[in-house]
Amino acid sequence: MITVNKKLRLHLLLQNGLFVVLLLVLVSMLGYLAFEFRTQWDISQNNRNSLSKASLDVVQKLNGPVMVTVYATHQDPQLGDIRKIISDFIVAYQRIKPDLTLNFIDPIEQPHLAEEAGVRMNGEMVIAFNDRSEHLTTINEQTFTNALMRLARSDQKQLMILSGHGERKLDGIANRDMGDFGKKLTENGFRGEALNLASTMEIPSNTSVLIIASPQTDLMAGEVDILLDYIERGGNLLWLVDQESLYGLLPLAEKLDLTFTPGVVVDPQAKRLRAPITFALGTIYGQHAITEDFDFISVFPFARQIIFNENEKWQGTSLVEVAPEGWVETGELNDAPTFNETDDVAGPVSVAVALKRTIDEREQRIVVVGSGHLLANTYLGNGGNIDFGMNLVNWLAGDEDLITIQPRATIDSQLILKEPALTVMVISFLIVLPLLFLVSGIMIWWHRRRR
Amino acid sequence: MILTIASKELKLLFVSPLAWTFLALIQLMLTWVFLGQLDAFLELQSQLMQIANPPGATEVIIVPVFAVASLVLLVATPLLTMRLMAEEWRNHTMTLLISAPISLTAIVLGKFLGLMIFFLLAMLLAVMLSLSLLIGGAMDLGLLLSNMIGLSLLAACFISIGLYISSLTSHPAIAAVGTLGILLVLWIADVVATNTSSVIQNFSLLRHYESFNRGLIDSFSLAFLVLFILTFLILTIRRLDGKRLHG
Repeated sequence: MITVNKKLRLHLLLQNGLFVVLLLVLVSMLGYLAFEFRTQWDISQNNRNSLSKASLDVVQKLNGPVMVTVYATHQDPQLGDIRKIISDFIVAYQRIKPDLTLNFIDPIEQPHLAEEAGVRMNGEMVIAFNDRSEHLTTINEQTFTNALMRLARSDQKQLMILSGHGERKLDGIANRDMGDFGKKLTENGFRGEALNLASTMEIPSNTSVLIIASPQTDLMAGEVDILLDYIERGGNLLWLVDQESLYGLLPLAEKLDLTFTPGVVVDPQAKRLRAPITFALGTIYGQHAITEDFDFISVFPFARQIIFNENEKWQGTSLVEVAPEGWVETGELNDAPTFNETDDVAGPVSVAVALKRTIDEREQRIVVVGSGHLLANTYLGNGGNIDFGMNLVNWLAGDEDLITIQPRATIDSQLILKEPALTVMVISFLIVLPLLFLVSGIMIWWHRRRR
Repeated sequence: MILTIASKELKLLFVSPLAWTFLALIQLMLTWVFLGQLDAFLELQSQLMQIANPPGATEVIIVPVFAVASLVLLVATPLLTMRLMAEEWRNHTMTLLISAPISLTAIVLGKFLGLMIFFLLAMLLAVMLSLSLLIGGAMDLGLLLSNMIGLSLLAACFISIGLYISSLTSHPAIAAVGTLGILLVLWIADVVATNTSSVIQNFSLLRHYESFNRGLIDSFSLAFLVLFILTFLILTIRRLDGKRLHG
C-alpha cells in the first residue's frame, strides 16, 4: 500500500502539470499547422461562397500581391459591422489568391490617412496592385473583379487632349483646368498627352480616346477636317461643350446628329441645396453602362441642353437628365430667373449623351457633355463628378474586356407550398410533436412516481 | 463497453422529464423560427427573384434555424452535462464506476457518446424541419449537410467541455454554472477582439460555426473543433485517472 505523503503528492502534481502543459503544446502545434495549411471548400450547391468562373480567370492572371485597404468605421449605423461584411466578401478572393491582403483603417481615428488616400465615403475600398490603385465604393463581385482587371491591364491607354485653342488642360492647376482629373486618370492606367493639330496634322493611331475640352477660340477648318476624319474612321471621343459658341465645331455636332440649344440650365433644386441656381444636379441617369449602379448626385455647372436626333447611323442614349423642376433659361441670367413659357424649355433636360456605332467590327464610342466645368478642378469634388468622369473615360477607352458576371441561378429560389401543406406542417411541427414529447415526459415521470 | 455506458446514460436521460421537456422546447423554438422565416420567404420570393444572386430558400429559412439550434444546445449543455459526473461524485457512485474493471477511456467516451446521441436526436428535429421544405421545391442539400456537420461538431465541443468541468467538482450546480460561463466566453470570444486579425477570434466557437453555417467547410475550423473535443476528453480521462490513483 502506497502511503500518500507530501512528497508523493508534489510529485503527482508536477507529473500532472507537465502532462497538461505537454498536451496543450501538442494541441497548439497541431492547431498552428491547421491554421497555416488552411483550405476551404464550398459545399453548398448554390456556390454562394465561391467566385464565378469569370472572376477566377481574372484573379489567376494577376501576378504579384494585391493590397486592399478599406476605410471603414467599426460600426455603420445602417449596415452594422461593415468590416465583417467586407472581409467575408474578400475571403472568397483570398482563397484563390493568398497574397491578396486586406487592411482596415478607421477614417475617424486616422483622418489624415483617409484624406491622403482621397477617401470620401465610409466603407470605401482602395485596391492597390503594382503601383496603381483603384477606388471602389460599392462592393460586389462584378465591380471588384472589374477593378482588378483594370489594375491588371499592363498597357496604358493613350488619351489625347486637344490643345492650342485655350482648352482645359489635363495637367493644369488653374481652376478651369482638369489637373485633378488627369491625376486620377494616371492612377487608373491612362496616359494623357496634349495634341496640337497645327503641328501634328494627324491624330495618332494609338489614341484610345480623344478629348475636346471646351476650346476658347475657333478651330481652323483644316483642324475640323482632321477631327471629322478621326470620327469617320471610328475614333472614340469625349467632347465637353460649354455655354458659348461651338468655336467652329458645328460640323462635328452635325456629324453626330446633335443639336445644342442656346441657353443655360437652371435648377431650382440646387438653390434649395444652397448651390447656385445654375448648378444643374444630375439625379436621373439613363440606362447605360456608364451610369449603371451609379447612385451619386453629379453637378453640371452652367450646363447646356443636348438633343440627340434619332438616326440610323448612331445609337444614342441620354446619360443624365437634370433639372426636373427647372428649365433652359434663354433670357438674361440674373439672380432670380423665371420660366418664360414662349422661349424657355421646361425640364428635365438631357445634358450628356453617349453615342455608339459599330465600325470595322468594333464599337466606336462617343460621349458629349454639355458642361465642361463638370471635370474642372473647381467642381470635380462636387457630388460624384469624379466617379462619373472616370466611368465616362473607362467606357470610352473601350474596356470591352470588362466582364459582366452573370447572376448565378439559385436552385432553391422557388418554394410552392399550398395552404393544406402549410397547415399540416404547422400542426405537426408546432403542435403535435412538442405535445408528444411533453406527454411522454409526463407519463414517464408519473409512472416512476407510482412505483 | 462504451456502448453499454452510452445506452445506460441515454436510458437515464429518457426516464427523467428533463430530456423530454428539452425536446419539446427545442422543437417549439425551432419550428417558431422556421415558420417565421418560411412566411417571410414566401412573401418575399417574387421580389427576391428580381435581384441578382438572390439567397435561396435554404439560406433564408434553414440557416437561421440552425443558428438558433446552436444557441439552444449551448444553453442546454450545462444542464445535461452537470449530472454526467458531478452527480456521480456526489452520490459516490463514481467511486464504484472507476474502480470497476472498465477502462476510464470507455467511461468517458461512453458518457460523451450517450449525450452526443441525444443531441443528434435533437438535431434530427431541425433536419426534419428542413427536409419538409422538399414538399415545396428544391433545396440546397449541400448547405444543409454543412450545417449538420457544423452543429454536430459544435455539440460535441459543448459536451466535451461540460464533461470536463463536471468531472472537476462534486456540486452539479457549480458544474452547470461553470460550463455555461466558459461556453459563453468561448462563444463570443470574437466580440472582445476589435482588431479583425486578432488571435483571440480564432478561439471563438461562433466564428468557426459560422463558416459551416454558410456552407463553407474550413479545414482550420474543422481541425480546431476536433482538437477542442479531443483535448477536453483527454483532460477528463486524465482527471479520472488521477482520482483512481489517489482518491
